[in-house]
Amino acid sequence: MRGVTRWATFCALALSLGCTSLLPSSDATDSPFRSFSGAFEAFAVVVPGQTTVADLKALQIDPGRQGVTVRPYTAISEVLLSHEGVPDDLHPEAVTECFEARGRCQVWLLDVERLKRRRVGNWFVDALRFKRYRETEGFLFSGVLLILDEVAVYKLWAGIPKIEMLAEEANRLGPFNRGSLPRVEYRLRLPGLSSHIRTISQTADTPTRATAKDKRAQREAERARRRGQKEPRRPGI
Amino acid sequence: MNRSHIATFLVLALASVGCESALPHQETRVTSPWSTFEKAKADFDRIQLGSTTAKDLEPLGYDPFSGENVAVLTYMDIFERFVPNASMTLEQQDEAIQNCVNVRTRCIGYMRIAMEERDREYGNFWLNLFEFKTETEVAGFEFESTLVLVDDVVVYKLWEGHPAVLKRQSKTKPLGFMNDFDIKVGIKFP
Repeated sequence: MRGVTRWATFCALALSLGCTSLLPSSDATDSPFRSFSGAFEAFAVVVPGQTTVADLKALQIDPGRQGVTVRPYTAISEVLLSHEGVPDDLHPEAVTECFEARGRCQVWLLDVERLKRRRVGNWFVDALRFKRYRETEGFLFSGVLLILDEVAVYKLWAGIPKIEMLAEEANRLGPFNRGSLPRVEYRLRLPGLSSHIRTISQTADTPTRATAKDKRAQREAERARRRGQKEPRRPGI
Repeated sequence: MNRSHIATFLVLALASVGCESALPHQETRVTSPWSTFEKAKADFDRIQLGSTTAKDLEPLGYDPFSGENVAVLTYMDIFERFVPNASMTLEQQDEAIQNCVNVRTRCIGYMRIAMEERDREYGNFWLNLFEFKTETEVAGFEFESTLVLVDDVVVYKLWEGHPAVLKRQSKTKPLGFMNDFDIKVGIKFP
């Protein structure tokens, strides 16, 4: 009888507290920057024509860290001239100069993404599928730096400083309901620097990060594109 | 009245009422200061070209650093948005857009999306439960706005969206859940 009482007490406590901590959550970041302001402020300090590679490393914009990718000068055509309608003289002279310097020019891509997904509310109500609340919070930061002779000569950034989405699912019959509602997916369009469309699934409990297979497919598509594009497009007149 | 009578009465009552409220529903929201399309549009209309500054946009829900889901765009993104393919040219666009692209990094864009979607199943609960007839309704709104700022002053604005989304879907299976039974005969050849 005492055991039953203990269990009843535990259940009552769990019900009253809600056990939110037992609900699944995920947090994904692939950069030293834990906040948008961190990435933004580091990028804001960069002065084209003055900031050196050493300065960038001190600012944690370091190719040795995750989130920073170094590409050759040919990537200028992919990143800044990817759209067929973009005129060659759209960008400032620094871009043309960097491209013409070829091997002395590098493209640094800073891609910072942090998305926290979690389910909130009462654990029992959630586990029995009576009511589920999902929250998605985070930020996206996408930056491009052109480095010529170890000096940053051009910078450009885009992003979403604060992402917040909510979803609520209610089933009066809880586990007895078929739950056939379509999974809602909201496509957050971030044109960004190379027209990437980011898909943020509100309903997914785990972040939709690119798998090794996706990355391989991406690399293959890129190679195919390069083969098709015999010579990289040259910015400037 | 014995138990079987009560059970029959309950089943009949549920069958007649349909128990629509017992069917699942779902709501998805991209957080924004606006609960309706009209409110979002009203705030958008308060933005004056050539005079509204980045600071003035804050109370209107367009500050990317204090508000949620405001994307900051570059001059390149703006170019791609207004000149989506080679058949169009920048010269065909508004003068403000041409100027934005010409001043390059002095020009930025703000893009804000407000979205609310409510899904619910309706109709007869029993027909739904046994999958004879599933009726789904999606309602809500979507408002997407783009602002172009040169030197922190709004020079161009554009909106698109669905003031009232309403999609209804009805699926009928004459055999209900038995329609999904799949009989497979596997023959392996040596």
